Amino acid sequence: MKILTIIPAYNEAENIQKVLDELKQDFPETDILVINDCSKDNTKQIVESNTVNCITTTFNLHYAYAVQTGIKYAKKYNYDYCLMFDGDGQHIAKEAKKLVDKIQKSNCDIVIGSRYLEKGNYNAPKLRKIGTSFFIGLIKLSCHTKISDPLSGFQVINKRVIEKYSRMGEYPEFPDANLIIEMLLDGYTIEEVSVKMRNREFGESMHGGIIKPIKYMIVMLYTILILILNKLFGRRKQK
Amino acid sequence: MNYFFIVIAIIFIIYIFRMIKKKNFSIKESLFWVVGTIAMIIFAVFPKLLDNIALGLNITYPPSLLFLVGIFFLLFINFRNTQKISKQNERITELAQKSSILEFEIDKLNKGETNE
Repeated sequence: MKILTIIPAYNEAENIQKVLDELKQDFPETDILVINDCSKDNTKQIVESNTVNCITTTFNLHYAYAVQTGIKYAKKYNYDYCLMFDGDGQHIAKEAKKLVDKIQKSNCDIVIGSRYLEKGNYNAPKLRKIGTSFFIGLIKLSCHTKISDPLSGFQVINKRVIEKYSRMGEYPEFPDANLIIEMLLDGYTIEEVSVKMRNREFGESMHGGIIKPIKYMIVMLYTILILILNKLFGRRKQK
Repeated sequence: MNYFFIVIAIIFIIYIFRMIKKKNFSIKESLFWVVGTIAMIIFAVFPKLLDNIALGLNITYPPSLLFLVGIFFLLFINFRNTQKISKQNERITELAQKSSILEFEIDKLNKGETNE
């Protein structure tokens, strides 16, 4: 059983050492691949000094396309499972094991590590909470499935999903609620496991500021609208 | 006959042809601009033509037909460009990802050789 852990990292020199140590100690079964997204600090040197594979992108690709680079690598080297793990220390390696166990046992396509399945695991900012519950409602409405943490980047995917995500244009810029809806509508199965997460220690979140979240929400709503419309038209055509 | 616009149009067409010759402009992409410029020459040579077409379409102010066609022409080209850009963005990302992986593999191979 080959498992690849993809860690996208952009200027994570302060966090990455801890993340790698933790993964090696608590989850030694996995191969680790760091995608260094043209960091301006010495992330690359730190990773390589740990004899961990490190792909440096040609130019700054941003989070999703950096992750997709890892997924393409996983496809090329025929990995069975792919774990998405943040480079900022938010995700806990011991919890990663739970996700992988779950996907092996339950035979589903995607397992999401959820912060909200059990109460008190994680304290999110208020605005984020509102956004999260909004997306939960949207997913429920469009797919009749309850996903408690659609914004979690802590996921394991199986071979079938690796195959799909590695194709051009199949992994969007913001791979969150829209991607979950798309996968559910396409008939992929998604399950959740309750995990703990830390609040990040150093560096900035990629969803910071005022304009970025607004842009994010607009793109997200528009994408979901198109997905649902596509689905409706598809059904009409099938009849 | 409006000599001013005829001269501008001819200069523009010569400019496009020179760009094509220098390989700065693909023949396929230049088509729309050449067609647009030829239309400009025709209307400059026969100013009555515009009035007659407008009359036939029940447009009381003929120049507004010119604006309408002009705006549609520009919108069409702009829409097509946006579409092409998004396609190209996708392809560039794909290339960047592939080249990142290849570079990583080549580096690894080279390191392996020096170690032995």
